[in-house]
Amino acid sequence: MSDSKVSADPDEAVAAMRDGSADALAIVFSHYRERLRQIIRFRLDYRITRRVSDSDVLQESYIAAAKRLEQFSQQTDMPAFLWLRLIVGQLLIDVHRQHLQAEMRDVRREVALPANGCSPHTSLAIAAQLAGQATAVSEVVARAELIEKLELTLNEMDDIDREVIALRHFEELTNIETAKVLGIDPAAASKRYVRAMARLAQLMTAFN
Amino acid sequence: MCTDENQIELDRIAEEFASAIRCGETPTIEEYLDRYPDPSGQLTALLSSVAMIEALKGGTSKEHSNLADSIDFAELEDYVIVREIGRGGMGIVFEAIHKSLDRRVALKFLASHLLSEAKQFARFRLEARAAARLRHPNIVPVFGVGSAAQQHYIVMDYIDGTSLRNLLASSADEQPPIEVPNLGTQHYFDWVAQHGATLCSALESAHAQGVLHRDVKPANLLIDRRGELWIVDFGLAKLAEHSNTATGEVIGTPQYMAPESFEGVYDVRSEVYCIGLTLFELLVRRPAIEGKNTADTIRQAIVGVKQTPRQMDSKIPRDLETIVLKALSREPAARYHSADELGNDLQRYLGHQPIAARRTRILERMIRWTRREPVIASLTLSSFALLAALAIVSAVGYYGTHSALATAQSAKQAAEQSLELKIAALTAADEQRTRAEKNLQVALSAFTEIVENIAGRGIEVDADVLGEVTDTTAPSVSPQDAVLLQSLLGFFDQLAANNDEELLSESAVAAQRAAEIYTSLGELQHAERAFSEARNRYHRLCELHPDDTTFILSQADVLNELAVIAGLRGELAQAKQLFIDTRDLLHASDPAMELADGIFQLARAHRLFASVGSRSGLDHAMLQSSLAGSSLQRHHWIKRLRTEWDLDAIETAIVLLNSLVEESPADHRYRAELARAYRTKAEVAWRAKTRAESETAVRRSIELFEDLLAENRGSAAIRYELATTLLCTETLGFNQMVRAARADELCRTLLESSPTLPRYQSLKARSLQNLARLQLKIENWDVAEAYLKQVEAIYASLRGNFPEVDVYETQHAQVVESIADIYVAQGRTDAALEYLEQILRRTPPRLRSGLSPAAAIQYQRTRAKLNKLRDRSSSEVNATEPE
Repeated sequence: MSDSKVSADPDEAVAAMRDGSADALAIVFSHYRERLRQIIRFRLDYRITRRVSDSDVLQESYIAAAKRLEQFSQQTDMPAFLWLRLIVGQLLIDVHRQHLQAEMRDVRREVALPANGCSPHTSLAIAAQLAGQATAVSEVVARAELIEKLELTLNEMDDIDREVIALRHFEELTNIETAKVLGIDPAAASKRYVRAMARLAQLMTAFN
Repeated sequence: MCTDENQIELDRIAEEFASAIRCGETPTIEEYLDRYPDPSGQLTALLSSVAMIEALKGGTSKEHSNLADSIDFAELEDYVIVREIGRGGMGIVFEAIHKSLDRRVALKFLASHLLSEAKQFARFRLEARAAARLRHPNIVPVFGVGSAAQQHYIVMDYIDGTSLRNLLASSADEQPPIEVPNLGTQHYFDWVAQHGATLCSALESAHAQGVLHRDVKPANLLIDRRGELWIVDFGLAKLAEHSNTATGEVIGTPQYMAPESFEGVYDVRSEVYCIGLTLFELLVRRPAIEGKNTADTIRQAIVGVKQTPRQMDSKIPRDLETIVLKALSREPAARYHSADELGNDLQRYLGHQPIAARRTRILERMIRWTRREPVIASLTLSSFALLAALAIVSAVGYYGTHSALATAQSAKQAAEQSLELKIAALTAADEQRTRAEKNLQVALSAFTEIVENIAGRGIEVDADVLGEVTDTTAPSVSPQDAVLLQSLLGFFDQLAANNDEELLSESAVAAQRAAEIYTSLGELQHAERAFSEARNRYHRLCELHPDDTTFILSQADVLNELAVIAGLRGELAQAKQLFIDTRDLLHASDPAMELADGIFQLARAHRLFASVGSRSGLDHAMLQSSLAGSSLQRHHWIKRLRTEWDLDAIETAIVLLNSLVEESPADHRYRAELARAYRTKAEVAWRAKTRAESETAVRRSIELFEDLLAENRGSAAIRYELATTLLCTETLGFNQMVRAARADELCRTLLESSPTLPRYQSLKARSLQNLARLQLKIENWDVAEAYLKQVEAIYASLRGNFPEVDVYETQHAQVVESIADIYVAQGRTDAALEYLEQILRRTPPRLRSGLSPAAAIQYQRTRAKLNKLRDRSSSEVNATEPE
């Protein structure tokens, strides 16, 4: 579409991206690359991480985003990062469906990123993420207790509170983004976050 | 007061703090508190949660990629880096030139997360110093440690060669970097044995200097160009241990860890095991433990090596295999006791001498029993020979059921003669009377012995070590033993029916034995009747001999047995009454309470009371819904169930048992009962939703049983108990995987020894249910369904074979319900309905009189579910059909 040189400034690039510039998409995508990777790492089922790397999903996501760039221009109130996150989410569902078909009946339910609501698997995903990171057993075992306490604590929380923590710390979204994803007011999201973290601190002390 | 602005500001600070951590900075909470006052303590709580999550998240992958970038080689004044040699869990290794000394060295940079604290660094220096002192021609010398630009490194001798790991990884057609004999040849196996012997001698010398390697594996063994073996990284693995864990020294790579290391136990014998793993891998060219993922690897490592080298390559010499397998024994005590012993056996193999290790003899265990017949041996009466023969034959078991039966019959006749004689002699001369009495006592004690042995056979011969092992689940005998027991039953019943005051104590014992037999056979109503009979007799005896504590203790024992049955039948009101009776009985007798056995029976009573709920087979949801005041509450008995009472009771039991264990730490009975008490506490606390407390209790119970298992190797009773504990709560998360795997393994071992034992069948059902729960958590419906269908089949067969054991009825109904729930969760209401109806047709609930309350409640619940499904299904049909 546009063959003029696209500005490297993310805000301007987003505007150009909304106008349909593929170059702008490349800039915006690489700007958010590591954050998207973090989301993929968090949501990618541990059973298929051996077959599919986070870089594979990133690459595919980029291609998918380029194909659907037109959609983005129609969603004027959608921040670029959250739009890319949706693309990544869709792709994750495809990847899971492809690789775990035999094992699962309803993949969508398993991996769906919470678009407007909560994923029932968040606390499990958190535990898998934490346990899966350490390669030496020393770490696994040393952390296991803490991870387990954390998981117990998360399980005792309200669904939205738990999702808020997952989005803020494991997908590393900002408060504004979190609010948008969960479809709640930013002030309410803040309130929930602070409350959930205070409860976490309290419960963790109780466990210790 | 927390206003909205206040919350938003707090959130902003947290976001700043989190992003600082993610950028690799190390902000402290104190810094932030200096900047932002925190009168309410909210910020402190918030930031500590953030720090905790982010710290847990920070894995090794980030550390590693950053490490190579962050090393500022310019600062390594005296060294010139030549190239990167390798990287691993501990850090990155470079080949370097030490300029002033002009020698080639290896620099190992440690991943910074290992040494982030000053304390850890101090320890690292200490460890490195210990390693540096080691002098052995096969240990890579350490020259010193240093640090530059926040990075710590170890300087060691450069070995020109390759690690065994690389050697193993290189494919067959690839030219290995050093010369190795052709695979699968005698020459190759000798080469492995030779290096194994060298490894042992080097490790032995380190052990003699008080240093354990702690991470023996192919990656840490180098072969230089001359073909010499070198060990690197002495004691370094210890650094990976977190300083703040309570678990002790759990370190290493799961693939190369001894089973006990997962429990924080590590000694020379663990190192022997790791040598075994390395030799195994060299022999078959594949790791002995190979999991699909970390969790799977850990699971396998805990279970231990299952395959034998020759199963994978039959060319491997048998003696060499025997040596490796001895080193790989799951129990440390069964391994070589030192690296030296292992090395010596390898040398013997190389020198074509007979090796010291021998293959385990299967018969060994069988013979053990015959060593314990002191009671019988001390008697010299005419019927002794018969009885002794009977006892031994029946104990040796399945091999001679028919002859044992024949012997039992004639022995029974002899005993019955004694009984008749005794009755006749009541009026006759004293001498004859005494003789008949003695004969009768011999018969009684010998038969008692037999009953105990048979009752204990499923659980091997430790019934006398552990006391009441036939806890929660009846029945526990094989069909063959059942025939044998039934033949004895006649004798006991006959004796028990005798109302003669002179024979009161004998008939009490007989009634008790008969009841035990009925329990073993799963005939609970008969058992209950016989125990009640025994209870009355003992009660009368207590009145006649108020000072004799044995009768009080026997009565307490019988009362507790009745409580066991009441629990199995879910008779909560009755269980409570029995508990009160036992307590009052024991409290009323000071002399009995001075005895350890008195305290033991009291503790048992408390535990049995607290565990009635869980033993009745009612699941947690049901107990809870009953307590929460659902329609089921009209069952007045369930109102009596108060979790607080249970908690009080079990606390008392634990205090009592702890005092007993403290007094006589060698008594396994007390320890086993204490472990059971912790299990009950875990179940009750889980129901009370105090999960942390529950978890602590589970751990304590596991610890105690694991200790007992280590001391009584091969004890099926303890295996069974341990597995029961592992399955007792629905723990969440990581530990559940490990525990599920352990339980599954224990269950398999038990079933291998006695495939038909109902008790193990039901254990297997519980293990499968646990696995199904794990699958349900990730909505793996199909797999969960398959597991539960197996469970259904097990319970269906058990309830068919043992119609009086209502627990099976209850559990069967529960699993059927769970399967229906799976269909409902998938939106397949019709399938659920169809399934329920089909099962109810095939195995209709038994609504006989005397059905236990627990089973009755479960039955009601199933009916309610069925009706609800019918309603829903018909409303769905209506909704789709146009009017």
